[in-house]
Amino acid sequence: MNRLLGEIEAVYRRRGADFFRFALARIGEPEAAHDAVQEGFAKAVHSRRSYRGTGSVEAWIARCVINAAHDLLRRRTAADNADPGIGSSSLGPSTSEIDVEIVRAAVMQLPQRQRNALFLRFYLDFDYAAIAETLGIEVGTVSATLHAARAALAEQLQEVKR
Amino acid sequence: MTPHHTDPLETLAPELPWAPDWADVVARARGRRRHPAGARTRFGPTKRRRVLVLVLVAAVAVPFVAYGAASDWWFLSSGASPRPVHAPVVVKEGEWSGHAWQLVAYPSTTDGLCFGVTPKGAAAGEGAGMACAPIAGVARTDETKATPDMTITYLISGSSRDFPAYVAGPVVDRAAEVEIRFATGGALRVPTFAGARSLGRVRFYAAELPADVHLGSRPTNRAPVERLSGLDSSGTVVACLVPGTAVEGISPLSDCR
Repeated sequence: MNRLLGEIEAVYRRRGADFFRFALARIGEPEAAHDAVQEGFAKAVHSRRSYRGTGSVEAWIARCVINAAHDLLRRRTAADNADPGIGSSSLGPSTSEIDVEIVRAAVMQLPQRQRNALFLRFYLDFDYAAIAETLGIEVGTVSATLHAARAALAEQLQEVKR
Repeated sequence: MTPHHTDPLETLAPELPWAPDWADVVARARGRRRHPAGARTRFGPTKRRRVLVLVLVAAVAVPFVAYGAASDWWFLSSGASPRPVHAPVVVKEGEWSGHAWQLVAYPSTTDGLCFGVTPKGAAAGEGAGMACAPIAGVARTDETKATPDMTITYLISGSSRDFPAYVAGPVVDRAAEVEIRFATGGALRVPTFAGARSLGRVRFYAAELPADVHLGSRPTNRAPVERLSGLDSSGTVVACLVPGTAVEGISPLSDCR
């Protein structure tokens, strides 16, 4: 059990920055992304007994971080719905913020599985097996999922440019 | 990694400074969040407030039109509620302004104690609400989120056409009464009642809201409940929540004295 704890810590130290980018893409706010990474790794440490040892530790941790980000977004959406005044701003976005928002809007149009697959590939450099393991899908479907995600994203962005 | 510099995903998540904090990870895993001396928590006051209103949200923002039989509770069939450790328990039944209700609770695998109010016998379940929170005295599981135990919390719902407004929630088992101070200035003092033994060492309270408490007209950014105190039989504060200043749902007892 201590060996696994050491492995989790090693992943955190080696890949923490990549997981942070991954969470940032998912959530959009650096503070909240940092929080999701911390929570995800904490969850992995806390429930490490449930790790079966059959797949990659990184894929298992990625699932924990995805769940943490999902929980955080769900809580935030609920809170925003309850009180729209919280977090609202009277400042207009800068040009670069608009660009980010266009990409974000396009990404959000993707089905969740495609989005997660895309992010795992791009930000964490996961191979097909690790993506399949993280998302609980067949390895054979990863390539098609990524291709569909890329095509849909390109189409969305192209529409915006028109 | 093989990102191309023009890839839109580069734009989405630029390489920002990453501040690793392994000690914080370990502290969270143990159920305590570490707050480095002199440093602000990851979530500033606004975010804390967001977390705190969750309990409110569960009741107000989810106008469930559902009513479940004993073996088919609406909050479980909706698929959005945390998984139960064991079947939900009817903690108490009562009547507010001629409307029968049930307070139901269950320990969840991930989010602590879940509790909800359900109109009883109505064709539609308008007014139903539920919330979950880790409460002191309720057993945690291996999967319970690493947030600290609360001593008291609340679920509040505004009146609807079919059901009166109410406030309800769990509190530590030493509390014999709960005092609720509302942002509108009114206050309510209600006795607590026992929960089922299977839920742990926790008591509950539930009350119809006074007529002068109007949730819909509350000012933005202001919680309808200003202060929530649990009092033991001698009137000593044993549980406290001040939503405006609490950190992760925790307020020191001194805030309620």
